[in-house]
Amino acid sequence: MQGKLRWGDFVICAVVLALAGLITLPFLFQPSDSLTCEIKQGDTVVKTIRLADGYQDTITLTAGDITNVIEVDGKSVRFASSNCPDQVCVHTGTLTRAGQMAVCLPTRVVVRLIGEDTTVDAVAR
Amino acid sequence: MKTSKRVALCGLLVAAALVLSLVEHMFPLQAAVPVPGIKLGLANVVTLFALTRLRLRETVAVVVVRVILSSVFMGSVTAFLFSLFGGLLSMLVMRVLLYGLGRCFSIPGISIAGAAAHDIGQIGAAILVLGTVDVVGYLPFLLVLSIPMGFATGLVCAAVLGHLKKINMEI
Amino acid sequence: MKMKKLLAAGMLGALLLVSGCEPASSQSDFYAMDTFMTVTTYDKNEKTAEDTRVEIEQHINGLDQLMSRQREESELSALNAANGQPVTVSDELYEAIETAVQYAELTDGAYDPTTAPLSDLWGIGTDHEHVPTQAEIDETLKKVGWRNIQLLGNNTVQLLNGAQVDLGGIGKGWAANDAAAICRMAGDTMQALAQLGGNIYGIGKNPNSEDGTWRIGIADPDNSASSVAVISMTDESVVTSGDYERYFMQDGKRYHHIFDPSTGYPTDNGLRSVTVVDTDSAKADALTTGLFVKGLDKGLEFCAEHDIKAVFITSDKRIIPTENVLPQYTFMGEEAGYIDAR
Repeated sequence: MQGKLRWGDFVICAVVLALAGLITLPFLFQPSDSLTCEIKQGDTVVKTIRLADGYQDTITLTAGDITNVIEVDGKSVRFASSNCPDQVCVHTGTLTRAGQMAVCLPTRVVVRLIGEDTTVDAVAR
Repeated sequence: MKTSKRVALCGLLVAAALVLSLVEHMFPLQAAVPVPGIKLGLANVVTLFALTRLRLRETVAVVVVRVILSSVFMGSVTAFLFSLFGGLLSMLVMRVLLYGLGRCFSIPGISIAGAAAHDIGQIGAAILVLGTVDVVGYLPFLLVLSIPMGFATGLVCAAVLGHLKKINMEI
Repeated sequence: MKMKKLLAAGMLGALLLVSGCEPASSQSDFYAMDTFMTVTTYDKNEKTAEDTRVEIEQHINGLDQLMSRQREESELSALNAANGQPVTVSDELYEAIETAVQYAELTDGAYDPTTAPLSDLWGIGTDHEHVPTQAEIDETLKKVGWRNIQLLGNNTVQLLNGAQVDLGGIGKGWAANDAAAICRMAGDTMQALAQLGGNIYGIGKNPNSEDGTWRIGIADPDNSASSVAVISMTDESVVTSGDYERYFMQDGKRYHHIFDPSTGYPTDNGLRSVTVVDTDSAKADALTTGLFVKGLDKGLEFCAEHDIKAVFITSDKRIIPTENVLPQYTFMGEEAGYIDAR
């Protein structure tokens, strides 16, 4: 009968499992490295960037007559400049680790780093 | 088999596959196992059955029509692409393995390979659509699960084929 | 046939394995009390997690309507606009003002909920920030002083000498306490992290850490995105006040938003920030300001006397934790050039 198991069936299972293992391997070796930068304005996610060495990008966001310039340089992100009155976003400095966050209140722009390797759950400031 | 009979069988199989997809949709396995996108893949039974009874191009038609119709009924455009890639890749792999049916492979074994190929096809489509390789991380999980899932659907298919043989139904 | 049974058993096992019991989470970002807030709730029941999160968000928005000095339609604004006449306010606002006065008294006026006219005068964080003249400061100081708040009982408050109440110094802490209370009412399995600006409350165990504690970083005053120390806690609040977020520079001098109510100038005593760890977030909120104004020596004395868990960061880059916070404290400031001065 066709339902009776043959040797090849075990080969199939083995191949499937091996494939699964093979794909898991690179994830096992560098799980903590992955760092994603999420840029939100209000309730909408403007951009999601997978950070990597050598990657450079400049994102300009505006609200009214206020302009935020966000700079991505390799695995770090910062508010490079902003013409908002309080400058809290610029003063926050450079984000380099998962869990870190910078906010510009007047433009409602939130920049946060997301990743597995969070050293802290939140920062009191 | 006459052409008219073939066409009728194609239609019948598409209908059966649709019903199976609907049943799966109504009782999502996801409720019991919290893995997004997890499915038993009952439509796979139909594909495998079609492969053993019909020509390749007819089976392709069955798969494509089933995917289009099921997407119209309950899916989105992206879901359509995922299912199409998954369905076709799964069909091709099973077609090749069917050459070794009885000697090297059993129906459940081939079904497992088909289920795994379905997952690979879906993730491939997801990479193309979403433009990110991150979804690959999800594949090992699906692959491991495809073994019990494929085995279960394979048993169903083997049972169907066995019964047809027993009652000597000529289709 | 035996093989099939074996496979079936394996299949069942695989199913059980993947259906683990990670709690469901619900997160939202919102703006209230002039700051950015993130609340994350975790519960076995996804709906409970979401409902609780929504309730917290709505409650905080309600508090904002009540306590905001910036919103003209708030109850607090009505009190501030009453020209010294007695005003009857709601239970909640009365209780909050009473609490603010209580901490002003406890800190001998180092924390003072009436410094708002000074903030307005200096305009720090606005487009008219400037160093005012001494005459302007002296004039404004006449309105400052927590003793000008008269709590007359029966929810009636009177503000003397043109005083204005600003609950910004305890408002986020008050909101964090309420968020924690809402979570506790939602059941024993509720876990949550409320980040209300820099005011953080961890409720229950952290489902994402091995030991179940929430790890809260204390900001590096020179790069506040990163942290120079970590506090591990459960069911507690961590609050920091510092000179590094809202400030402006003039002639090489830093003018920030924490005013010394006795001089009318931004506090200038060699401290960069003060962090307080306490189960009462409103208390922690008020005390960070109070301790910052008191300065390192008097601040440490106060902490010893009242058993307050605190961490001080000085402008000569020393980080000084109090004795009682040490079991929860990890120094991390080496890279940024800080000295572990425990």
